[in-house]
Order: sequence, then C-alpha cells, then structure tokens
Amino acid sequence: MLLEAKSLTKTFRRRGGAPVVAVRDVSIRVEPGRFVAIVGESGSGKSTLARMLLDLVPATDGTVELDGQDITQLRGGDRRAYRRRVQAVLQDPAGSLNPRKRVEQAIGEVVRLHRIATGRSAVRARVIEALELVGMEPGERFLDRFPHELSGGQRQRVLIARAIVLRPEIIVADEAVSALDASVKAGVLKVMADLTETIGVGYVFITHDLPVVRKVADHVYVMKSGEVVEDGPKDRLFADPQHPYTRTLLAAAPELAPAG
Amino acid sequence: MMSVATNPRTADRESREAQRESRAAGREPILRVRNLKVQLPTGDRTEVEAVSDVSIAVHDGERVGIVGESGSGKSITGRAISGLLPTSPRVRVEGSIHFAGREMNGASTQEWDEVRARRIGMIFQDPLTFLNPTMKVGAQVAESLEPTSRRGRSARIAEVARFLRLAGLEDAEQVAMCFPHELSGGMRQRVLIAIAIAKLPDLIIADEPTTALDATVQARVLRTLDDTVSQLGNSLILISHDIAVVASMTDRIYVMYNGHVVEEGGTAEVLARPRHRYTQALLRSVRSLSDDHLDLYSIPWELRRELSKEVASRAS
Repeated sequence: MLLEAKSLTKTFRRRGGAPVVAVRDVSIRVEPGRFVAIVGESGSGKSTLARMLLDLVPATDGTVELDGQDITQLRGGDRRAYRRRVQAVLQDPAGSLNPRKRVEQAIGEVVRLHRIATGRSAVRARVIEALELVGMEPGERFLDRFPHELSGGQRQRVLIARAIVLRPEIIVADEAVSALDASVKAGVLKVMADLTETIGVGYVFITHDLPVVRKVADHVYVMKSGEVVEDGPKDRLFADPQHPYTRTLLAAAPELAPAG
Repeated sequence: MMSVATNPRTADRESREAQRESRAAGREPILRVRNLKVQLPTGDRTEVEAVSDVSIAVHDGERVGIVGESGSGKSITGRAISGLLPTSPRVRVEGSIHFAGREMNGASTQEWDEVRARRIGMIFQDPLTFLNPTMKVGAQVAESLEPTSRRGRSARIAEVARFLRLAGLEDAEQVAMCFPHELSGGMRQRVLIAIAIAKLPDLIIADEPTTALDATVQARVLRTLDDTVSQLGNSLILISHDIAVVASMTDRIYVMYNGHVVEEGGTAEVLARPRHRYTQALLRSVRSLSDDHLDLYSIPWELRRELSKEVASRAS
C-alpha cells in the first residue's frame, strides 16, 4: 500500500479579499511501517495538508492517491475502506473524546461501525487488545474509565488505541504529542514508534517541533508558507540541513546540554 | 508647587533604591516565600492542595526558574506570588510571602494592586487574556509608565515607543497605534514584555511566556526578555514546563513535583548533577527526546507513586 499526495494545492477564497494559498504544490509519500514527519510552524499549511490526506477537505488542485487511485473517485465500500485504512489522531485528546463515554464505549463503537467484530465479548476483546498495544496494561482496568479519570498521556493513548483497533495502514497524526510534558511525550512517541513494528502501521506525523521527530522519523518534510522547502531521510536532514529555514528551525529549538 | 525632587513617585523610586541597598547589605532577598500552601476548591465541597510546601527566595537582579510538569503547582505558586489567586473564602493560602519588606499573604486587594502597578511585572502564556482588546497597545503601555514620565503627550508617546522598542518591536510608533488583534502572537507577547518593563518593576514573573509560540519566534522573544532584564537589572522568575527554556535564562532553579519543591540549586549545577531522583528522571526524559544515544524515556508510573508518597510524608 502506498499513500501519496501529488502536487496538492489548497486555496481558500475569502469574500472581498485575495485568495489564500494554504498549501502549494506539495507531494509526499508514505507506506505502512514508515514514520514520515511533516514539520512546520503555524501557518505553514501542515494541518490543511493533513485534512486533505484524511479526505476532510477537497484539494483545489492535485490528488491524494491510494495505490495510484485518486481517493475522490472511491465509491461505496472502497470509500469506507479508505476511512478505515487511513486513521486520524489529533492534538487535543480532551476534545476528541466524548466526556460521557467510557473507554470501552469510545473504542468499541468504531469497532462496531466498521464491523471489525460483532457481539459484546468479541468487541471487548478487540478493545482490550488495542489498549494493551498502546501500553495500557492490563486493558481490562481501563474499560470503565471516563476521559476525566485519565491523565493527558493516557487520553492520547486511548485515541491511538481507537485508531489502531481498526488495523489501519496509515495514521495521520496532527500535533499528537505537542501538548504533553516531556516524559509523557517520550512515552507516547515510543508507543507510536513501536506500533510500526508490532502492527506495521505507517505515520504522517505532523508537528511544529522538529527535534521531537529526530528519534522516531524515517523521513522528514519541512514546510514553510504552504510549500515543502526541503525533505530527506531523517539522518541526512538533521546532520546536513540544506535549506536555510531548516537550519533556522534546528537552531531555534532550545536544547539541554547532555548530562555531564 | 511641587518640584521634581518631592514628587511622590520620584520619592518612591528613591526609597526603593535605598531599600535595595539595605537589602544588598543584609543579603535580604526581595522576595522570600516560606512554606507556601495553597488550597483550591475543585467541586462543591472538595478542595485540592495545589501547592503543599514551597519555599523560595529571589534576590535583587537574580533570575530564578521554577520548573515542573503540568499539575506540579508551579503556576499556582506564580499566581500566589503575584496576588492573582481568586479571592474566595474557599481559596486558602498559608505561609509567608514576604516581598520588599512587606508581608503580602493576607494583603488587601488594594495593597496587591499597588504592588502590581509599580513593582511586579507579569507576562503570561496567552497575551490576549491579559491585553484589553478595545484599547490600542500604546495606551496600555502608557498605563504602566510612571506619572513623572507621563507629563506631556509627546514625551509620553516617546516613552511608550522606547519601551516597545526595548521589547524588540522595531516599528514601535506603528505598533502603538494597533489593537491587540492586529498583531501576531509573537508581537503581542512583546507588548506584554513592554508593559511589564515600563513599570521599571523590581520583579518580573513570566509564566510560560513563550509556550504558545513557534520555535523561531520563541527564540527571539526569549532573547528580548533576556536583554531587557539585563538592561534594567530587575529580578526575574521564569515559570515553565520546558527545562531547556529555563536553563538558558536563569541562575538558579527550583524543581517542583506534586506541589512541593523537591530540588533547588544553581541552574547549571542542578542540570549537570541533579540530586533528587525526580529531577534525574525528568532530565533523562527530556534528554531522551533529543539525544540520539538515549532510548525514549518516560518516568515510570511506579516511580511517580513512590515520589508522591515521599513528598507527602515530608510535608506531614
């Protein structure tokens, strides 16, 4: 499987004003098992790109293709399959979880919706399995919790569990760890990186935080003002950034000196 | 007729200078917080102890960092020090907040207003909640100026522009005529810095001043804060979850966990040789995010539980 953005452009028209080009001619590719990061500051167009990949907003120009097929042409079962195969994990775990639904219900309802399993015990088994895959062990212990009974890191793990319970091939994660403390961020990142091995999922990991992707990404795209200004394998990009903006981003991040 | 020398504000400035000298002679800090405890209401009948035991001291011209994770009590500590906790019989503040020779715990709203008007400047994460949306930013900076420098419209405009420029806003005259919503996030944060420094305060309290900003903007705003504090020589308390930010800006650091200060010391010393195991674990997790040779490290749940027990037993 291969998910590609081909020359994607998104223009927002404003009444009475000049149109705003949020994304201009962006091409990226991601496969299952690969950790692809898209890095850019606010206004770089990275979230608009994510929304186009998730088929939440139409592109003005260019295509999103799944194995060479334009996703806007998908119909019926294929379209539903796309919504299962490409999942989203977004920034605000509190806002993405219904405060009145327990963990079992929040994850179980997508299992039923996509007919991954039927019957109370089969659904529950899937939910527990997904929770344990994201490090919430034993899964049974978390089934009856409401979102407010979980920590920020646990809520973010529940969102990841809700995505992976559908056995997606790609997860589009938009600022999925940005709001978390360093320790919790490290934990969630590790869970996400491990899932590329355990279930072979791939990521489009969108963040404003360049150093964070250093540990987990295979390939990095750097966006500025709606365009990809540089991309490359992670090791190359961090060791030898070519574009001045990439160098600025790397220099701007405050970093602790290594332990003495 | 009042001469400049007997103007009460100038007299205030002179007496503050004298106070500073006497503090320096006796090695008295400008701010000393002892055994601060803050209880906040969470529900109809329940309270939570957000701060359990915090003692900190800040000397004249010193830069002090308070770091901790969310829920550690660092921001509530900052609010207590600036007198900005909600006034309610259910908000309980115990301990001592001694600022510039006065005990401020239990001070009236009016006393706090006086202190905040002249002596403590504040910078918060979200400038839009602090700035008045219906006032041009120049007028908001002007409110911070000493009345002596307010005499005369053109002198006032020049003073406002000077402080905006000090805060790194080059087009100061134009910025002064803008409303807050017309400025970018980085510019608004600089306006807050201008408002804070225009008071020529003894102490600036900055709570997550750059957390909402992009990395490149954050770096520039921090440099500005650094420069202005150096130029004006006031004390600084920088509160942040981001140890790297605090490391680059402060001389001394307090590490908070669960409402307690678990470690304090020279910033460089604490970062190089942390003594408390919470600080050690926290630094390990921060470094694991950027150091290629370390595995991603998250503070284990068992350790958090032990630490919570440890600090709780210490308080009793």
